[in-house]
Amino acid sequence: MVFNTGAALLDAIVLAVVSNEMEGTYGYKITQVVRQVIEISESTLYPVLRRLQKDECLEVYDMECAGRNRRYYKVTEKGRAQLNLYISEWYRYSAKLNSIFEGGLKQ
Amino acid sequence: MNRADFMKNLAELLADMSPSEREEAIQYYNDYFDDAGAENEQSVIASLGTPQQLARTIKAGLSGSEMVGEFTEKGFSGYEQKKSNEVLNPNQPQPETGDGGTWQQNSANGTWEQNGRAYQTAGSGRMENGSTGEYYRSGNGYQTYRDPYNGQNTYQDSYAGKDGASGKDGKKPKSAGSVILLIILCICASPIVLGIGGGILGGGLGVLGGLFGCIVGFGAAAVALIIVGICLFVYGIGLLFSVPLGGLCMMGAAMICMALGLFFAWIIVMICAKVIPALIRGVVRLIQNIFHKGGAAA
Repeated sequence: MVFNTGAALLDAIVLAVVSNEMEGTYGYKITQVVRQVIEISESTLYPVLRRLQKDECLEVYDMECAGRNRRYYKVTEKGRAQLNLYISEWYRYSAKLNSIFEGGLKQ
Repeated sequence: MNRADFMKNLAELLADMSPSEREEAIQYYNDYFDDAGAENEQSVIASLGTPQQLARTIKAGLSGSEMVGEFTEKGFSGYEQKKSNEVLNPNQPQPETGDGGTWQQNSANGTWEQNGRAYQTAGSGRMENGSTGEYYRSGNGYQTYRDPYNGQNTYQDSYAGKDGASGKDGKKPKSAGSVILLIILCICASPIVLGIGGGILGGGLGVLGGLFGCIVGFGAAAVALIIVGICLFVYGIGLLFSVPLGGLCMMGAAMICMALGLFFAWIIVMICAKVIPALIRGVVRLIQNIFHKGGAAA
């Protein structure tokens, strides 16, 4: 990948991935989905998830699965608001970039 | 190294963390191995790096301040730091910027360059090691990072207050006392709630019954009128030969009958297509409002 992914963008990606699952999703799956999009190492996501959880953007709950408890992550109200902010910021930002790439933005 | 060794090693390396944080991390990576499946055990271990690297990543991400850095194709490198903090770990190759300019890594000799200034990366050059995904943080965290966004978001506030007033948005867990109080309140209010609820339910059922009656009534009227109309029409055709004027009148009456029948059928269609969905929408909105108010009051 040529471009870097900043911390805020990674937060946004993780929030988006988690919010796409109504019932919440778990660490391994989140990692696999994020890794389809950007190149990160498998160890990168735990601190991100933990931090988002501490900031009350994500909540966790344990659910029985195949005879063991699996920890699920779910987006909170606050996390959703934060994600919406990120998304609108992203559209603003990418629209500007697009317009400059297409030569439309003068001065 | 197998999974058991890896996790045992990791647990030992995390021994200096708080027990709850250690448990969290251990559970996460146990889950991770479980979900990856036994057949992927070795590849997971390989991509997580050594337990030492993983422990460092976990601790670095959780020690209070926020990380500032970027993910690159080489993993996470925390090289953006706008305010100079002199408390850097000398073992970590973390260059500093004074003004947040762009950094480029000169892969030939392992130096970092910014605006012409070059910084030697101390240490082993872990940044070049793609699989580990190291990152580094500034002491000053998200606020610094979010500055370019003019502070227009709520995140900043929440991060600023994270060391003290974490319960400021009223999300503290309810005490046992207030829960009991709530239960007593519910029990006391139950006759009123049940009465009102029963009334609403009865009213709703009445409206539904009325609608059903309307549909049946209009339906019967429509069918009867159309049948009568057809009969009269046929009779009118027969009459046309003997009493032409009477036959024409009869056919006209038959057409009026059929028109009325079709009108009633149209009413039924309107009830089914417009009134019932509108009614359902209204009820749903009403229930939603009740629940929202209840949620706000709780």
